[in-house]
Amino acid sequence: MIATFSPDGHTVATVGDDRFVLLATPTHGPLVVRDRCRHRGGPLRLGHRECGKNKLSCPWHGFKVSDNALLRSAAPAVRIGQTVRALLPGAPEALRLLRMEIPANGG
Amino acid sequence: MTVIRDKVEYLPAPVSIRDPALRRYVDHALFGQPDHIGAGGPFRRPMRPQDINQVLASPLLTARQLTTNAALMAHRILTTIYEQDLVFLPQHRDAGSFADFSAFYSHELRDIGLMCRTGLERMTFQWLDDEVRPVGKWTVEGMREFLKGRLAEENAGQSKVCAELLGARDPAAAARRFLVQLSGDFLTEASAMARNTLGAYGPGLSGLFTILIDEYGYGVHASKHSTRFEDTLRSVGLSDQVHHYWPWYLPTSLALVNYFHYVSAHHDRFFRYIGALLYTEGTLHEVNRQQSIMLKAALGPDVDTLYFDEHAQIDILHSDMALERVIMPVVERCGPSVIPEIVRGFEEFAVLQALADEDLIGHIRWTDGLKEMRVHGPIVEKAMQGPRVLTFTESAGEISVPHVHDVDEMFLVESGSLTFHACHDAHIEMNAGDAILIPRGRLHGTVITSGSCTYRVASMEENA
Repeated sequence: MIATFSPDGHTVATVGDDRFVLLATPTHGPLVVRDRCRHRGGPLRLGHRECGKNKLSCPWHGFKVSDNALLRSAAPAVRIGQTVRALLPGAPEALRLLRMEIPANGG
Repeated sequence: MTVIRDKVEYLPAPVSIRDPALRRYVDHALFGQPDHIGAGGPFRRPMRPQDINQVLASPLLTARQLTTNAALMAHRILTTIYEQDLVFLPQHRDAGSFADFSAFYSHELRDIGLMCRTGLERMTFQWLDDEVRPVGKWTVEGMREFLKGRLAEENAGQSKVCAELLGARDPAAAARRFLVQLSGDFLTEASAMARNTLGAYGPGLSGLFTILIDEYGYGVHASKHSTRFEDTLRSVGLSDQVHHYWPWYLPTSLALVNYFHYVSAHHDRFFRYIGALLYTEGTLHEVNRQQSIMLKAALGPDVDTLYFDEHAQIDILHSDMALERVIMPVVERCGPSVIPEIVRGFEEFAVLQALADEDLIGHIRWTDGLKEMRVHGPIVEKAMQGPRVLTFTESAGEISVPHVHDVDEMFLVESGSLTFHACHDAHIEMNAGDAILIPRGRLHGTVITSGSCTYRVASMEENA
């Protein structure tokens, strides 16, 4: 199903137990990724970046996730300006779009 | 297989102030001052060569700059360069018509145009490379789900353009102006598509060819889609001649035509082309259904809507054909690495169409409410005391070819008289002391109707 994200609109989508989040990466622009660190499953949206760095630190164990790794794991999507239309797995009736602050995006 | 990433170290220069070819192109007599303000046709295409410096000095455009005068001129030139690849014949049997034909297709003019083409394409379309960007790992199943889902989104709800037209003070006039904008595309419909039907790429080519011959009425001239549109135009008293309304095309109307030539003339963009093709074929059936209803409501029972009614049915088939008989065989042949380009083409055209709809709505409001744009009193005096006021004196019959301004402008006739035109059928007479506010990006031109006329134009820069 298609879910539309934007920094000033929906930034998070849940599909059942899965959570997807719009992350702003300095290297590849906005990406929609699973909100789950591949180390121990920490919530990447709550991570942080050091200024100018192209790696995101997971809030649980400080596991570093590079922008390139985020790109490789990103949902297939099209960015149009600041809007991202992403193709998410699951049934449309299971989709919930949320407007949440994303600390990992610096705000 | 070894992946070749080498690129020829050549980047075509952006259009620049030093480019003499572009200046030579627009200085051609076919593109100079017309005999009358509405003059246009397949060969004579007034372009306001005096404005060429705006194009030459322009940076690469952004989405917000698609309705500037530089964009209008660049798209007029680009349409002309692309259409020198199409065949138009002399419109009349006289020697003058044949001379126009010969001049339009002269080797010299074509060669100069080709020298300018890439620079103009970068200026007008490179912004899309940044604006639309596919990411992530795409699969065939994912692409199909995405494209079908997007078509369903695009086809939901009422057309904003149709709603605007029906809400106009004069819906019949608004509907005719809408048809004029379509005529730049529909009278040469599918010509860009034909560029993609040469070569050899398997079943996808045959799928595309089937759509093409359908557009061309399987060789039955009366059934050719452009012939059907000619019937529509004639039924409401409009000309069916190619580019009869040339000066009145909006820059975004031309951008839609040019985009298809752009992705069809450069075959490295073939995959974008088939994505854009799906967007048009997959949305036209619903849009045309609504447009047919709108045209009947606005223009009455005599309007010939067969073009729209036929598309409302046939483009459902074309949508399936574009996906199943063009895109899927091409992806099957080339693999999933081409999918992001297909998705990109779909979304690029969606972006352009949305901007064109917005511009068209602005045009309909401007032409429909032209008389309301007259102003007088202190607002005019204040504008004329501003720092950017230009004064022009012109003589009887002098024509200002339709153009747009990049900022709001106050236009005041100081002496004499003129006719102020906003499109082929919307104009007002202005005499000494009359003023009008011209919003930025809104098309207009003038014809002097007195022996001499002096008018002043004040830039309302703060509105830029």
